[in-house]
Amino acid sequence: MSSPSPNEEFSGDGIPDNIQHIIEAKIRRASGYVAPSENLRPKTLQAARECWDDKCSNRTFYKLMFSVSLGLVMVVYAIQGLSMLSYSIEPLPSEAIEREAHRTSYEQHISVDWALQEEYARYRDEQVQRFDASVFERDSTRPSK
Amino acid sequence: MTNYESLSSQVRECALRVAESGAAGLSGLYDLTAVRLVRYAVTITRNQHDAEDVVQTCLVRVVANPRILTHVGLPWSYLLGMVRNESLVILRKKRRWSIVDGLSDLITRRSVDEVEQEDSYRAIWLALRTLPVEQREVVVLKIWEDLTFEQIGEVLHVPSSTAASRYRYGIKKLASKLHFLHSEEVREAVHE
Repeated sequence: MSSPSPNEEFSGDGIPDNIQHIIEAKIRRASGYVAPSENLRPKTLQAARECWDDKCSNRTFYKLMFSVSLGLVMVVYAIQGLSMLSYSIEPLPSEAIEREAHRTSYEQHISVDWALQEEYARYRDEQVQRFDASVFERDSTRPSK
Repeated sequence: MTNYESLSSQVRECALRVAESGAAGLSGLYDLTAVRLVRYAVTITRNQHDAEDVVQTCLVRVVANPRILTHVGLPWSYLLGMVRNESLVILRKKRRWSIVDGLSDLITRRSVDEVEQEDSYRAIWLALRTLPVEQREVVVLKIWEDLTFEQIGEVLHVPSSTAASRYRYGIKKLASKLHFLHSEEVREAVHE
């Protein structure tokens, strides 16, 4: 943009470059006029500390929640496994044992008390065998690593 | 490396320190940028208290997530953009009648030899506040932050030609408001 003549009126869209430089220099000098207040720094650092502490405590909380969730999942899995074991042993009703005891007493000519004791002993042996069998079956069906 | 690139690099280093040490690392970033950010935010919000709230909010946001500065190409531009967006939100929330006329909200500093200049500085700040926000933020970024129109365009998300046009109109209005067109200095400059 060419320099204007001394008596030229300033009109039109632009202003001469040298005038623009003067204006820019004045504005540049005013840049340091405004300053942050004295308490902005401590206030900002304090707010940052609180934010950081919240972030850390949130992280700890999420880790705790994850651990608890994982623990719950493991407990549920363990309970499921145990309940599968217990279903493989069917309890004999006591009436059936007593009926067997009376029959044994009649056939073998022994007292009912001795016959009951024998029947319960046999029932216990059968339970042990069934338990061992169910454990073996479960272990054999589990996929090998 | 230009001043702008150097400042961007320093901002990134400060953000990395924040990422490593948390809030304790913020003091470096504050000391590097707070004056510039407050100055920029004041020109948008036209209220220093709001401007300081904006700067505090943005810096705390950096502490909450330092990656917003460590993982961008131009951290200084990004930080200016954060301050700008937050300032505009506050400006929009404020009703026109609550915006203070004059400069009573400003916290000023001046050295002894600048007392004479104070009237001139006040006139400039008042004149800036009369510009539309789009023009005054371009003027401030160009003159005080020494950005190119392309860099200003990145901060404001406008083409560089739009930034240049806003600057031209802003400077022209300032020239008129500051009575530069008829001042002694201008007449002397014209005669050169």
